[in-house]
Amino acid sequence: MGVLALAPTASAYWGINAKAVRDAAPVGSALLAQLNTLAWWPKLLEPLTFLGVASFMVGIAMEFAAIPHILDRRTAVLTKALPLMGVK
Amino acid sequence: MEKMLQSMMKKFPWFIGMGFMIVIVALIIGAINAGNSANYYAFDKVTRETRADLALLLASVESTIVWLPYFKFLGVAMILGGITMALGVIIQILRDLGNSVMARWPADLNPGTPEKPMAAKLFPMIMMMGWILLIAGLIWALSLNGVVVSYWDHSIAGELNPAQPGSTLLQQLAVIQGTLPWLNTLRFLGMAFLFTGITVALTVIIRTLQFQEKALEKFVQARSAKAP
Repeated sequence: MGVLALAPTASAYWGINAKAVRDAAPVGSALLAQLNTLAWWPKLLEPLTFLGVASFMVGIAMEFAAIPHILDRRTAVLTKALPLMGVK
Repeated sequence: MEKMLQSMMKKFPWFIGMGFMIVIVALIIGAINAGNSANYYAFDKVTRETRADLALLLASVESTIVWLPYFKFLGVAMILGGITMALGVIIQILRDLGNSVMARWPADLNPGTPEKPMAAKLFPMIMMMGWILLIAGLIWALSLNGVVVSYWDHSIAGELNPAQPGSTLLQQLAVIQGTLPWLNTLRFLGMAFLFTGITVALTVIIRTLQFQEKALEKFVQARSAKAP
Protein backbone atom coordinates (compact mmCIF):
# COMPACT_ATOMS: atom_id res chain seq x y z
CA MET A 1 0.00 0.00 0.00
CA GLY A 2 2.89 2.33 0.80
CA VAL A 3 4.29 1.93 -2.70
CA LEU A 4 1.00 1.63 -4.60
CA ALA A 5 -1.09 4.29 -2.86
CA LEU A 6 1.20 6.65 -0.99
CA ALA A 7 4.16 7.15 -3.34
CA PRO A 8 2.17 8.32 -6.42
CA THR A 9 -0.22 10.37 -4.26
CA ALA A 10 2.67 12.03 -2.41
CA SER A 11 4.53 12.89 -5.60
CA ALA A 12 1.33 14.25 -7.18
CA TYR A 13 0.34 16.28 -4.10
CA TRP A 14 3.75 17.77 -3.20
CA GLY A 15 5.37 17.81 -6.64
CA ILE A 16 2.74 19.34 -8.89
CA ASN A 17 0.96 21.91 -6.71
CA ALA A 18 2.39 25.10 -5.22
CA LYS A 19 1.90 25.65 -1.47
CA ALA A 20 -0.62 28.42 -2.10
CA VAL A 21 -2.70 26.06 -4.27
CA ARG A 22 -2.49 23.26 -1.70
CA ASP A 23 -3.44 25.63 1.15
CA ALA A 24 -6.41 27.00 -0.79
CA ALA A 25 -7.85 23.57 -1.70
CA PRO A 26 -11.61 23.63 -1.02
CA VAL A 27 -13.65 20.89 0.67
CA GLY A 28 -14.36 17.99 -1.71
CA SER A 29 -11.47 18.87 -4.05
CA ALA A 30 -9.06 16.26 -5.45
CA LEU A 31 -6.16 17.96 -3.66
CA LEU A 32 -7.82 17.61 -0.27
CA ALA A 33 -8.64 13.98 -1.05
CA GLN A 34 -4.93 13.42 -1.78
CA LEU A 35 -3.96 15.13 1.51
CA ASN A 36 -6.48 12.91 3.28
CA THR A 37 -4.89 9.79 1.79
CA LEU A 38 -1.42 11.03 2.78
CA ALA A 39 -2.60 11.72 6.33
CA TRP A 40 -4.50 8.55 7.19
CA TRP A 41 -2.72 5.74 5.31
CA PRO A 42 0.62 6.05 7.17
CA LYS A 43 -1.23 6.05 10.50
CA LEU A 44 -2.87 2.75 9.56
CA LEU A 45 0.16 1.22 7.83
CA GLU A 46 2.52 1.64 10.79
CA PRO A 47 0.53 -0.54 13.23
CA LEU A 48 -0.14 -2.98 10.37
CA THR A 49 3.61 -3.28 9.75
CA PHE A 50 4.07 -3.88 13.47
CA LEU A 51 1.46 -6.62 13.36
CA GLY A 52 3.45 -8.26 10.55
CA VAL A 53 6.71 -8.09 12.54
CA ALA A 54 4.93 -9.33 15.68
CA SER A 55 3.48 -12.26 13.68
CA PHE A 56 6.99 -13.26 12.58
CA MET A 57 8.13 -13.07 16.21
CA VAL A 58 5.20 -15.18 17.38
CA GLY A 59 6.17 -17.72 14.68
CA ILE A 60 9.75 -17.81 16.02
CA ALA A 61 8.40 -18.09 19.57
CA MET A 62 6.18 -21.04 18.55
CA GLU A 63 9.19 -22.80 17.02
CA PHE A 64 11.15 -22.30 20.25
CA ALA A 65 8.14 -23.38 22.29
CA ALA A 66 8.11 -26.73 20.47
CA ILE A 67 11.71 -27.50 21.53
CA PRO A 68 11.02 -28.11 25.29
CA HIS A 69 8.36 -30.74 24.43
CA ILE A 70 10.76 -32.48 22.03
CA LEU A 71 13.50 -32.43 24.69
CA ASP A 72 11.09 -33.79 27.31
CA ARG A 73 10.27 -36.71 25.02
CA ARG A 74 13.98 -37.23 24.33
CA THR A 75 14.66 -37.36 28.07
CA ALA A 76 11.97 -40.01 28.50
CA VAL A 77 13.30 -42.08 25.59
CA LEU A 78 16.94 -41.71 26.72
CA THR A 79 16.03 -42.82 30.24
CA LYS A 80 14.63 -46.04 28.74
CA ALA A 81 17.40 -46.42 26.13
CA LEU A 82 20.47 -46.04 28.37
CA PRO A 83 19.99 -49.29 30.33
CA LEU A 84 19.54 -51.07 26.99
CA MET A 85 22.92 -49.66 25.87
CA GLY A 86 24.57 -51.19 28.89
CA VAL A 87 24.64 -48.07 31.08
CA LYS A 88 23.01 -48.89 34.45
CA MET B 1 14.57 -15.48 43.20
CA GLU B 2 15.87 -18.40 41.12
CA LYS B 3 12.70 -20.48 41.77
CA MET B 4 10.46 -17.49 41.04
CA LEU B 5 12.24 -16.96 37.69
CA GLN B 6 11.96 -20.67 36.84
CA SER B 7 8.20 -20.75 37.49
CA MET B 8 7.74 -17.47 35.58
CA MET B 9 9.70 -18.81 32.59
CA LYS B 10 7.39 -21.80 32.26
CA LYS B 11 4.53 -19.34 31.63
CA PHE B 12 6.18 -18.03 28.44
CA PRO B 13 3.18 -18.78 26.14
CA TRP B 14 1.10 -16.43 28.29
CA PHE B 15 3.57 -13.56 27.73
CA ILE B 16 3.69 -14.24 23.96
CA GLY B 17 -0.12 -14.24 23.77
CA MET B 18 -0.37 -11.04 25.82
CA GLY B 19 2.22 -9.33 23.63
CA PHE B 20 0.38 -10.29 20.44
CA MET B 21 -2.91 -9.04 21.95
CA ILE B 22 -1.26 -5.69 22.74
CA VAL B 23 -0.09 -5.40 19.11
CA ILE B 24 -3.64 -6.14 17.85
CA VAL B 25 -5.13 -3.57 20.26
CA ALA B 26 -2.52 -1.09 18.98
CA LEU B 27 -3.62 -1.85 15.40
CA ILE B 28 -7.26 -1.10 16.33
CA ILE B 29 -6.29 2.15 18.10
CA GLY B 30 -4.11 3.05 15.09
CA ALA B 31 -7.06 2.46 12.72
CA ILE B 32 -9.31 4.67 14.88
CA ASN B 33 -6.60 7.34 14.92
CA ALA B 34 -6.26 7.10 11.12
CA GLY B 35 -10.04 7.63 10.88
CA ASN B 36 -9.82 10.71 13.13
CA SER B 37 -6.98 12.00 10.97
CA ALA B 38 -9.08 11.47 7.82
CA ASN B 39 -11.96 13.40 9.43
CA TYR B 40 -9.60 16.27 10.26
CA TYR B 41 -8.10 16.51 6.77
CA ALA B 42 -11.53 16.37 5.12
CA PHE B 43 -11.80 20.12 5.90
CA ASP B 44 -10.01 22.91 4.05
CA LYS B 45 -6.91 24.48 5.60
CA VAL B 46 -8.62 27.64 6.90
CA THR B 47 -11.39 25.66 8.63
CA ARG B 48 -8.87 23.15 10.04
CA GLU B 49 -6.72 25.85 11.54
CA THR B 50 -9.50 27.92 13.09
CA ARG B 51 -12.31 25.67 14.36
CA ALA B 52 -12.04 24.75 18.07
CA ASP B 53 -13.63 21.27 17.73
CA LEU B 54 -11.13 20.41 14.97
CA ALA B 55 -8.26 21.56 17.22
CA LEU B 56 -9.42 19.03 19.81
CA LEU B 57 -9.59 16.32 17.12
CA LEU B 58 -6.02 17.16 16.04
CA ALA B 59 -4.93 17.09 19.70
CA SER B 60 -6.36 13.57 19.98
CA VAL B 61 -4.55 12.47 16.77
CA GLU B 62 -1.21 14.01 17.86
CA SER B 63 -1.39 12.58 21.39
CA THR B 64 -2.04 9.07 20.04
CA ILE B 65 0.98 9.45 17.72
CA VAL B 66 3.13 10.16 20.81
CA TRP B 67 2.15 7.22 23.07
CA LEU B 68 0.95 4.50 20.66
CA PRO B 69 4.46 3.48 19.41
CA TYR B 70 5.56 2.75 23.00
CA PHE B 71 2.46 0.63 23.56
CA LYS B 72 3.24 -1.34 20.36
CA PHE B 73 6.87 -1.77 21.38
CA LEU B 74 5.73 -3.05 24.78
CA GLY B 75 3.69 -5.72 22.95
CA VAL B 76 6.71 -6.74 20.84
CA ALA B 77 8.86 -6.65 24.01
CA MET B 78 6.50 -9.12 25.69
CA ILE B 79 6.80 -11.45 22.67
CA LEU B 80 10.61 -11.16 22.77
CA GLY B 81 10.52 -11.73 26.54
CA GLY B 82 8.44 -14.85 25.88
CA ILE B 83 11.08 -16.08 23.41
CA THR B 84 13.82 -15.48 26.03
CA MET B 85 11.76 -17.39 28.61
CA ALA B 86 11.26 -20.30 26.16
CA LEU B 87 15.06 -20.39 25.75
CA GLY B 88 15.38 -20.38 29.55
CA VAL B 89 13.06 -23.42 29.73
CA ILE B 90 15.15 -25.17 27.02
CA ILE B 91 18.34 -24.48 29.02
CA GLN B 92 16.78 -25.94 32.19
CA ILE B 93 15.57 -29.07 30.34
CA LEU B 94 19.01 -29.57 28.74
CA ARG B 95 20.61 -29.28 32.18
CA ASP B 96 18.14 -31.73 33.74
CA LEU B 97 18.60 -34.10 30.77
CA GLY B 98 22.39 -33.98 31.16
CA ASN B 99 22.09 -34.60 34.91
CA SER B 100 19.72 -37.56 34.49
CA VAL B 101 21.98 -39.17 31.85
CA MET B 102 25.24 -38.60 33.73
CA ALA B 103 23.74 -39.82 37.00
CA ARG B 104 23.72 -43.30 35.41
CA TRP B 105 27.43 -43.21 34.55
CA PRO B 106 30.08 -44.84 36.76
CA ALA B 107 31.42 -42.36 39.33
CA ASP B 108 34.94 -42.33 37.78
CA LEU B 109 33.54 -41.24 34.39
CA ASN B 110 30.95 -38.76 35.69
CA PRO B 111 32.26 -35.18 35.26
CA GLY B 112 29.51 -33.88 37.61
CA THR B 113 27.15 -30.97 37.04
CA PRO B 114 29.09 -27.83 36.17
CA GLU B 115 28.28 -24.65 38.07
CA LYS B 116 25.66 -22.49 36.39
CA PRO B 117 27.59 -20.05 34.12
CA MET B 118 27.32 -16.32 34.68
CA ALA B 119 25.57 -15.90 31.30
CA ALA B 120 22.76 -18.23 32.45
CA LYS B 121 22.20 -16.05 35.52
CA LEU B 122 22.52 -12.85 33.48
CA PHE B 123 20.10 -13.28 30.58
CA PRO B 124 16.86 -13.07 32.66
CA MET B 125 18.19 -9.83 34.20
CA ILE B 126 19.00 -8.40 30.76
CA MET B 127 15.48 -9.26 29.56
CA MET B 128 13.95 -7.62 32.67
CA MET B 129 16.08 -4.52 32.08
CA GLY B 130 14.67 -4.27 28.54
CA TRP B 131 11.13 -4.54 29.89
CA ILE B 132 11.79 -1.92 32.58
CA LEU B 133 13.16 0.56 30.00
CA LEU B 134 10.16 0.05 27.68
CA ILE B 135 7.61 0.35 30.51
CA ALA B 136 9.40 3.50 31.72
CA GLY B 137 9.22 4.86 28.14
CA LEU B 138 5.48 4.14 27.95
CA ILE B 139 4.86 5.84 31.33
CA TRP B 140 6.94 8.83 30.22
CA ALA B 141 5.05 9.04 26.89
CA LEU B 142 1.70 8.85 28.71
CA SER B 143 2.79 11.57 31.12
CA LEU B 144 3.77 13.72 28.11
CA ASN B 145 0.29 13.16 26.70
CA GLY B 146 -1.21 15.97 28.84
CA VAL B 147 1.26 18.50 27.42
CA VAL B 148 0.63 17.29 23.84
CA VAL B 149 -3.17 17.62 24.18
CA SER B 150 -2.82 20.98 25.92
CA TYR B 151 -0.57 22.29 23.10
CA TRP B 152 -2.53 21.04 20.08
CA ASP B 153 -5.94 21.95 21.52
CA HIS B 154 -5.47 25.48 20.18
CA SER B 155 -6.27 27.15 16.89
CA ILE B 156 -3.21 26.77 14.61
CA ALA B 157 -3.78 30.07 12.78
CA GLY B 158 -4.99 32.07 15.80
CA GLU B 159 -2.79 30.80 18.65
CA LEU B 160 -0.09 28.27 17.72
CA ASN B 161 1.53 30.08 14.76
CA PRO B 162 1.63 33.55 16.39
CA ALA B 163 2.99 32.16 19.73
CA GLN B 164 5.77 34.42 21.07
CA PRO B 165 9.07 33.41 22.73
CA GLY B 166 8.52 32.77 26.44
CA SER B 167 4.85 31.91 25.96
CA THR B 168 3.37 28.78 27.54
CA LEU B 169 2.63 27.36 24.09
CA LEU B 170 6.25 27.56 22.95
CA GLN B 171 7.42 26.13 26.28
CA GLN B 172 5.03 23.20 25.76
CA LEU B 173 6.34 22.74 22.20
CA ALA B 174 9.90 22.75 23.56
CA VAL B 175 8.99 20.07 26.14
CA ILE B 176 7.36 17.89 23.43
CA GLN B 177 10.17 18.24 20.89
CA GLY B 178 12.84 17.89 23.58
CA THR B 179 11.34 14.72 25.07
CA LEU B 180 10.67 12.77 21.86
CA PRO B 181 14.36 12.03 21.05
CA TRP B 182 14.85 10.73 24.62
CA LEU B 183 11.81 8.50 24.29
CA ASN B 184 13.06 7.11 20.96
CA THR B 185 16.46 6.35 22.50
CA LEU B 186 14.83 4.63 25.47
CA ARG B 187 12.65 2.54 23.14
CA PHE B 188 15.56 1.22 21.07
CA LEU B 189 17.76 0.75 24.15
CA GLY B 190 15.02 -1.44 25.64
CA MET B 191 14.79 -3.46 22.41
CA ALA B 192 18.60 -3.79 22.34
CA PHE B 193 18.52 -5.24 25.88
CA LEU B 194 15.84 -7.74 24.84
CA PHE B 195 17.78 -8.90 21.76
CA THR B 196 20.96 -9.13 23.88
CA GLY B 197 19.05 -11.32 26.36
CA ILE B 198 18.03 -13.68 23.54
CA THR B 199 21.61 -13.80 22.20
CA VAL B 200 23.05 -14.57 25.65
CA ALA B 201 20.42 -17.31 26.21
CA LEU B 202 21.30 -18.87 22.83
CA THR B 203 25.01 -18.75 23.80
CA VAL B 204 24.18 -20.62 27.03
CA ILE B 205 22.37 -23.32 24.98
CA ILE B 206 25.39 -23.68 22.66
CA ARG B 207 27.80 -23.94 25.63
CA THR B 208 25.55 -26.52 27.35
CA LEU B 209 25.39 -28.66 24.19
CA GLN B 210 29.17 -28.37 23.72
CA PHE B 211 29.79 -29.44 27.35
CA GLN B 212 27.45 -32.43 27.01
CA GLU B 213 29.05 -33.43 23.70
CA LYS B 214 32.56 -33.34 25.23
CA ALA B 215 31.40 -35.32 28.28
CA LEU B 216 29.85 -37.96 25.98
CA GLU B 217 33.02 -38.16 23.86
CA LYS B 218 35.13 -38.74 27.01
CA PHE B 219 32.67 -41.40 28.16
CA VAL B 220 32.79 -43.19 24.78
CA GLN B 221 36.61 -43.03 24.68
CA ALA B 222 36.89 -44.41 28.22
CA ARG B 223 34.43 -47.23 27.48
CA SER B 224 36.11 -48.04 24.14
CA ALA B 225 39.52 -48.29 25.84
CA LYS B 226 38.09 -50.71 28.43
CA ALA B 227 36.38 -52.87 25.83
CA PRO B 228 38.40 -56.01 24.77
